[in-house]
Amino acid sequence: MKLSGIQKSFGPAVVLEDLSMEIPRGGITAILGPSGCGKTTLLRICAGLIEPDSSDEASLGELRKLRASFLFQEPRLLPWETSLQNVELVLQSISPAERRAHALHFLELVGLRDYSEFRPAELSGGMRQRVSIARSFAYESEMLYMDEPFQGLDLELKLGLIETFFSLWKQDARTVLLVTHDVLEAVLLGDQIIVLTQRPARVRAELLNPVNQSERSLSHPETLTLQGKLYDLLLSSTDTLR
Amino acid sequence: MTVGRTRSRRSFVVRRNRTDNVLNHFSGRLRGYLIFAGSVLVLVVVWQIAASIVGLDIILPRPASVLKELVLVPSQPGFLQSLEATIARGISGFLLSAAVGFAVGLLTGLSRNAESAFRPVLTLIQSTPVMSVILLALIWFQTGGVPVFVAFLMSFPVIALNVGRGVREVDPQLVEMAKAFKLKGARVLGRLYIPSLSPYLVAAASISVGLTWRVVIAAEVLSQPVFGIGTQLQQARVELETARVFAWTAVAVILTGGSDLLFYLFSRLIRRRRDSSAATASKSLPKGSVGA
Repeated sequence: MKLSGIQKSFGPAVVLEDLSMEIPRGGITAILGPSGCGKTTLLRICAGLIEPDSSDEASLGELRKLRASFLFQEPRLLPWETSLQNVELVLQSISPAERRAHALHFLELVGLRDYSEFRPAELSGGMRQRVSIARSFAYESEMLYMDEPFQGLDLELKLGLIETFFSLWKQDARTVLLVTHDVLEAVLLGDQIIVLTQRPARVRAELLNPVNQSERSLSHPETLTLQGKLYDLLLSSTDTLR
Repeated sequence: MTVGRTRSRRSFVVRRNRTDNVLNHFSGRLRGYLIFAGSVLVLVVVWQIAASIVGLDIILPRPASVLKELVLVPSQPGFLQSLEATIARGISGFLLSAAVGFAVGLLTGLSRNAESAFRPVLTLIQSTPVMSVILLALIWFQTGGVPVFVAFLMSFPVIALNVGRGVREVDPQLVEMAKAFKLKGARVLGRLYIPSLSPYLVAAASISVGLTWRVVIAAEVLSQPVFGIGTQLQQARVELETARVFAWTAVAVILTGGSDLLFYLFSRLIRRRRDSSAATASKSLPKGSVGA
């Protein structure tokens, strides 16, 4: 899928200027950029949550036609509902029993079956994000949008959640568009990594992840090489602005 | 001598601390009740003294005369009908204002344009004296409808403004989540907005309940329906039965207090149900927690 000519300003600040990129179907595309470069804005435009000032209508339309699910930076769970109710909330099936069974199944997949009757306040931060992952996969979709989903969690939790993410993703291999400023998230998750510059965001580089999903780890040499390359790209894109 | 005194005081403090843990809660409550009872007693005594000075039951009846009248009031003809009629008017006025107030509040909370459109109306109603509304209602409606209309008009802005404020306080991240997952309107309302609004709804309703009784009775005094607490009050005044005015006032106070209590118990029930379901959940905490 192609995106082209996306333009967006907030007041006098030009956030996206004539941005174009290609998102392959059925893969995980990680968009990596410095904080405040407009990644989240780009994601929200793709998902149809906000409108661009201008764009190539046809390309954006194709993307927006697809049924989309979301994994936000925050868990965004209803505080007064249990894990089970929170997952069930987004399901479309008419029969409540069916919705419940489907939701329970996904809670089981993220290892939270025993916590289905717990409210978000009774869960740890990592568990809340697991409920959120269960919700995003329980919702049937062709696209999955992820906005820095593992941000603010410590390394161990992050790796655990990434593992959980892959185990669910493999079931239907939906197209994923992920935005992040975390190089680690990008190298572990992205099949394709697009590096953006500072605002107004432009594509600085497009890289294919040379490492297989199942082999990506912090001890794999090629993952580490890629990680180094990405750090260089990020830093130099900041330098050009100074 | 001085040393001895400090030592004994210190041991007293220690002893107090030990018993405090057990007694503090109980004695704090007891003290509260005692102060409450004392305050009521002072009020009655002051009333008694004032009545003795005035010396005329027509102007200020003694507490005993009012109590006697209050005991007699329920056996008077039309007592139940009056009570029922006032309660029915109060409930209709309240439900009407709750329904319209909720709808308008939702609208003004969701849309800035609706907010601008309704603000003048709401402000106008809120700054209109209750008596003007009653007098106009007397011109426009039949007697029984006047109190209902006035109660509706006076309390629906309170509900609308509170609900509107509550809607604007709903977590925008959750609203975006609902939009992203394309949740249906009814589900968004029932599972995101209403639970999130509940503190505002409780506040609005409790203000509105108190307001409703006062306004309904005031409107009854002027519109004189056949039955109603206000009608009874006005009749007692015309017959110079001041003790009966006090007695019916007491009935109104009991009605307001009773509905406040009911409302309080109801809102506590809702809160407790929520808390207890959370508590049972944590009790059944499974062993061997999940990593993340």
